[in-house]
Amino acid sequence: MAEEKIFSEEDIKSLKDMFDKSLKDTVEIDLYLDYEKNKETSEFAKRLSEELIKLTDKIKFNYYDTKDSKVLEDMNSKKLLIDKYGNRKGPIFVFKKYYGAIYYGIPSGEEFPIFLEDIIHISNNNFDIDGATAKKLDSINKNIDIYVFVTPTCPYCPYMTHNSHQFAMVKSNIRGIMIESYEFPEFSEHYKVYGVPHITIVDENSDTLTEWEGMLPEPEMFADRIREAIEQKVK
Amino acid sequence: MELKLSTNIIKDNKELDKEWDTIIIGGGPAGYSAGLYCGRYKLKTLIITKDIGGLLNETDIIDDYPAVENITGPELARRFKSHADKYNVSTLLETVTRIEKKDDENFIVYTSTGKEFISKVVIIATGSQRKRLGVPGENLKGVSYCAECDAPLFKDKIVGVIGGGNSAFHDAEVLAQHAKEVYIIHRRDEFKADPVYIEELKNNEKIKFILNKVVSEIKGHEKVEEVTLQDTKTNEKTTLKLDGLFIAIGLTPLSEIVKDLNVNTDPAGHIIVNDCSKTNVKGLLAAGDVTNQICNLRQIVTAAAQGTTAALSAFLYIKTKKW
Repeated sequence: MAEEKIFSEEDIKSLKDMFDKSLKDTVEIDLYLDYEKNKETSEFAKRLSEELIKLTDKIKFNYYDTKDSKVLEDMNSKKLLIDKYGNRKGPIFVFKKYYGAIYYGIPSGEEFPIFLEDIIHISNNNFDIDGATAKKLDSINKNIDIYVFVTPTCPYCPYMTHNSHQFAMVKSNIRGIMIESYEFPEFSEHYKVYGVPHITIVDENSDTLTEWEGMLPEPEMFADRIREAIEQKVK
Repeated sequence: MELKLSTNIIKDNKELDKEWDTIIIGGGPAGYSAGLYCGRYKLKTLIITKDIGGLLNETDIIDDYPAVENITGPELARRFKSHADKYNVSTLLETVTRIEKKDDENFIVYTSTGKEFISKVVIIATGSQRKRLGVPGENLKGVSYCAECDAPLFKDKIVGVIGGGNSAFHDAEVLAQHAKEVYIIHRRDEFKADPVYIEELKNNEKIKFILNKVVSEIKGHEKVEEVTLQDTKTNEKTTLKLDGLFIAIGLTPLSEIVKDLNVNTDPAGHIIVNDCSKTNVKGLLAAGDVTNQICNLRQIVTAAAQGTTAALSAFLYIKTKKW
């Protein structure tokens, strides 16, 4: 029996329209697939990518099977193997041009529009950062990861994914990593995620600088929290 | 697996003007209905809100908003916003920290990032939030007020829901899709929830009912592990092991923002307004869950209706200067 399509005819039409109107440069996405530990979601991620590329020639996916040792070496060198607890390696979506904007798990439910917006921003090389926030981000010089733990049904989570990804796109020392808690349960358990959005900010040694639960919609205040956490650590 | 195609949260970062005809605080059904009508009245209107939709976001399926059948809360929120956008209503995703009277005819509105705006009219549509339980242990991880957000984190776990109204039944229904067992804990022996809901959940084998009990303490080391239940008739105490606890015991109005403006409120904190959404302060209107209207019925349709009357009052006040 043929697998049911992810997008309805109506979805296809609106996505095509959106891509035709909004995409300028080609956006390349590296998709890491773990058929051993996250088989079902890796298969879904692959199908999703295949349906998307049929709608535009401005999105390209590069596929990597995480059982290949060379792929693992590459992921290790890019510090993509952050789930040390459940040892799950995919599905992970990484934008080729901006390695800091990462989806650990499928950007499904409420997160999918943010994935689409990321593609549009990267394709047009413009970002959703106001002057005051840019100034604050500019003073962050340490390498940090922002883990944004989400669930697909959380309506407040996309605000945090969006801002963390925009930060990552304008500052190469910041990575914004959306983590689908459901697909990475051990990782979420390690960080004691019992409510979302759950934000954990870690330094380059994976030491937690700060964490909180709840939405912070103002990017400027989000940037302030990061700066404060770094300053506290330095003291 | 469901994929949504559109979102409201993308900002355009254009520089906002300092002066407005109307500033609406809150982006739920009351706020965006007020925005839509203000836009149609050609009032220069800014909505300042920390999110789009307010409590709509925490509702799975809505089937009581006339003419719109079976829609999700976030999707309805998107529609409210996009309808107001059509009439050039601006939105700023920030929190308002203070409102003060500038002079007899204007207000100053301050935001969380230090922005200041001047407006002839302010419409308070801040809505409400879930009441806290007020017992020891409520700050532990695993205590939640948003089943929609957190239910997937409790896969195959045992959870409790406190409350007996529609919100509690909604939460239990959402949780039962993930959890192994769901206990509805209620202080009375009958429920306020709609009969259709009660019937449905009584047939759900994952859902169990604990009646005539209140939770007097939540215990755990790093997260919720158990709750102490106190019988409302005998005062007898028992414990129940739980992995998570969802609190749905009603709503509290978010009216703190007007406390310095000498606005009349009822004992519960609802802003007192008349049929035209006017408060006792000239130029200040209020609509939706934050108010004492309409017949104590806090629904999307009543919030939207009040937003509309607030917009008309704003228009007439700006035009005639009469309050």
